[in-house]
Amino acid sequence: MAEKQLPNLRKVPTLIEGLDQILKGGLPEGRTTLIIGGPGSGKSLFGLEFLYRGALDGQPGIFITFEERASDLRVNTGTLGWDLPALEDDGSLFVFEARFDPTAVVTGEFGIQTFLAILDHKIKTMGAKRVAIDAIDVLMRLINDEHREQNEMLALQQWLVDHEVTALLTVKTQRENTRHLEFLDYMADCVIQLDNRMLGQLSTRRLRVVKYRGSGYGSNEYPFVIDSPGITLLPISDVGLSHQPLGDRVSTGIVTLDDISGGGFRRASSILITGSTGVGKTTLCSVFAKSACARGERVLYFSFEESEAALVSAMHSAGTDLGPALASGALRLMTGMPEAMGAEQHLVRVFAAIKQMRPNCFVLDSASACKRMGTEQAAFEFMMRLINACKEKGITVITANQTAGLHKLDEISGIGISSLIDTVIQLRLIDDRDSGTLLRKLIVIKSRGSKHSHRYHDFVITDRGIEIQRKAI
Amino acid sequence: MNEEEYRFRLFVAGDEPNSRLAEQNLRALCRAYLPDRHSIEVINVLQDFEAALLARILVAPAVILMAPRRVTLLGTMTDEAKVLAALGLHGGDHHR
Repeated sequence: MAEKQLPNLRKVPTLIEGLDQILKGGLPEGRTTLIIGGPGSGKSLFGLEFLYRGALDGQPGIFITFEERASDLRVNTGTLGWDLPALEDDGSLFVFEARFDPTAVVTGEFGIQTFLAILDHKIKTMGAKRVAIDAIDVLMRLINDEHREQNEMLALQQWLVDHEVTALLTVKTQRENTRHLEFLDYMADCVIQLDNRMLGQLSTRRLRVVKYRGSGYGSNEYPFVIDSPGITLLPISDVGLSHQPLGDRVSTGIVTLDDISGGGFRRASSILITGSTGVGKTTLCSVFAKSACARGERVLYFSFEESEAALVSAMHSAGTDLGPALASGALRLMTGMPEAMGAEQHLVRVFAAIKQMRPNCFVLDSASACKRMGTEQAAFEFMMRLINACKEKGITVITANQTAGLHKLDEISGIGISSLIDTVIQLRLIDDRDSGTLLRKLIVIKSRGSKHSHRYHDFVITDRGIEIQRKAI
Repeated sequence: MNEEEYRFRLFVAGDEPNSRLAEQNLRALCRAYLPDRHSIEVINVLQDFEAALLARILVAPAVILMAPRRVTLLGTMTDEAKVLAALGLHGGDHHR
């Protein structure tokens, strides 16, 4: 439900990477937002990062925790590279540890005036604009009376509005008791749900905006990761709508292949090189990378298959010396194990490298390895988002894909990203009984916007590189 | 069985009804069970919130028994059985 935004609704950017795009600007200013989720879903960190980013941006804030120790929060966020004590010292952050004495005995009715008196003083002395109350459910459980809980929460909400602070309340979801939730859900102007579930063998964090009074919002489930420097969300941008047009042609690095493919690869296009293991996909990628670097371009090469040393050595023996391009910084190799982390975390890592290096070309070796990130769906999303991001930035992207048999040629072992692929080159190994040798054949299966050969071409890999026969067989 | 003085610290939020009720109940309990061996320090959190922050008392009314041992009681002190049990006082004590 993408409502039109009310003209008088002002928003406060959370400054959390990716979140403001989903919230179409940020949280409702001077209003209460609820974050709900199970244990370990990242609620506290959302609240804390909202304050941390705000404090760094000159907006003082107060974090109230009913559950955690302030000292633990300082240590835990330290691993993300945050320096909370520095912000506490300069008065832009106050961590208010409001844990109840667990041995306290409830002897009758009580109210939260004391809590508010403390908060009132801190808001005034600090000029606080942002307040996060973590684990408000702890307070509600202590009151333990539905009617009074609701009165106290309504009073709290009104109090926060009167104090003109943008508030974020986190609530633990509990299966056995949802009454806190129903009421708070109704009370808040914006509700965000977090969860942490297992996909394959990897945990995946997701965020969903459940409601946002008076504003539109991205209504999908958005994956997010928690890693230095904090929370990163990866909103799916409008896929395909902001792609750069295909650019001029650049050499594939092999003159014959330039001819066969109709003049080389087009800039900002995505090229898939598919074939069985050992057929020469990586060699073709490397030749292209080396020639791009020789033209003065920057290439980011992401390998899930081999270590840097193994790749460089293998390519050297196949006639492609990547050493000079690596030494000059024109080529950057990134390696990793697909199963080491979830697809989102891989994406965050790749996007960070792209942002830093701003490459002209990106090589992914290989798509088939992405399935080891967990599920086929995770691999699909990884590929889709990566290729999409490259196309938006005008980066030429070459993907190697290992096929085991006679798969549909432009499908990546079941990962259907063919609509994002402009050019498909298939490499085949053929057992030639007459000569008793393995023959290599190459065919351009599709190439958008190019007049290309539709025939098989023989090729060999020697210590001088790849040699392709011009004559079609 | 014990002659130590009971030192209470009562946190009230001005003179709102629950806070007044808590003070009445505490004073009545002291008269009945701890005559001549109690003291009550009343703190108005609306004025002295620092004391509340220090004691980590976030609701009002609240009572902390400071000595002979530390016990925290939240609320109006209306549930007398619970209060006596928490303070280690027994129905028979005041007939002593």
